[in-house]
Amino acid sequence: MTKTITQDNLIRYIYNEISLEEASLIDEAIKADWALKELYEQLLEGKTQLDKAAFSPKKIVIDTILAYSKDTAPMEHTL
Amino acid sequence: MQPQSVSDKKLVKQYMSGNESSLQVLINRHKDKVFTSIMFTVKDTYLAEDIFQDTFVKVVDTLRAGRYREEDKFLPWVLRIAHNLCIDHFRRGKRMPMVTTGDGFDIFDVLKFSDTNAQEKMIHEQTAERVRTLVNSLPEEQKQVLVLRHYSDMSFKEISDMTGVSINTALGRMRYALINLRKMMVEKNITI
Repeated sequence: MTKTITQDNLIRYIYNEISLEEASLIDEAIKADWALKELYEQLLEGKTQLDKAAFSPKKIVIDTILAYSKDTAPMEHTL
Repeated sequence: MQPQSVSDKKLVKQYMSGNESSLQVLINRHKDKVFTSIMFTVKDTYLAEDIFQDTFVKVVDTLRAGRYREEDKFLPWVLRIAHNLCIDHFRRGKRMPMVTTGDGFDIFDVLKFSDTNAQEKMIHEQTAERVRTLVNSLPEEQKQVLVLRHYSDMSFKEISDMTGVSINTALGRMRYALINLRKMMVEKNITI
């Protein structure tokens, strides 16, 4: 069964892009295959670190866009 | 109904009917995804803010002009606009992205906080910056897929449609990106 799990399947698995049936197969394969488990943990660790690096725009940038939208709203929407 | 539970499609419709607050919900829902995608492309906070702003001005204008196709998903559509504006910028300037300050760090953001908050924020920012440096050192094609999948929350199918590579290629690039990231962390002895 392990042979059917490709590395790309693992990527889809950690990003939740697989069916429940496939997920269950991968769960089993990870438990049974040490090398696959190690790769899975490496990929997951890389993914977890990425969460720390997201950026956020400043509030003033959002406010400027909302002000633009309000200022350019069609007359019938502003009445 | 909570704004979070309203679909993008419905919010777009409401906005086109004149509900301004729907735009606010849409922007707040997707701002980090769009902004992170831009930041990893241009590597300059001020330029990224300009492009982010231009992206949503274009969104507003397109929705108002009735040129938005309902079959398009909102976020991938916005990301395509942002991506095209980044490309336009580099074409106009005829230069590749350069790291300006290298950190996207705005001292005025820190000054607004108390000492404790400022310290926490600085630690958080340092951690984030180390990961960003690693991401920026990945080969361009791996970084593109990683940013679109991880930060922009696009599916591999959507990435494939947007970038013109096959789904398998996108999956492979993502796999190499994650493996390379971890390898670099081990090599550089980085514990984050």
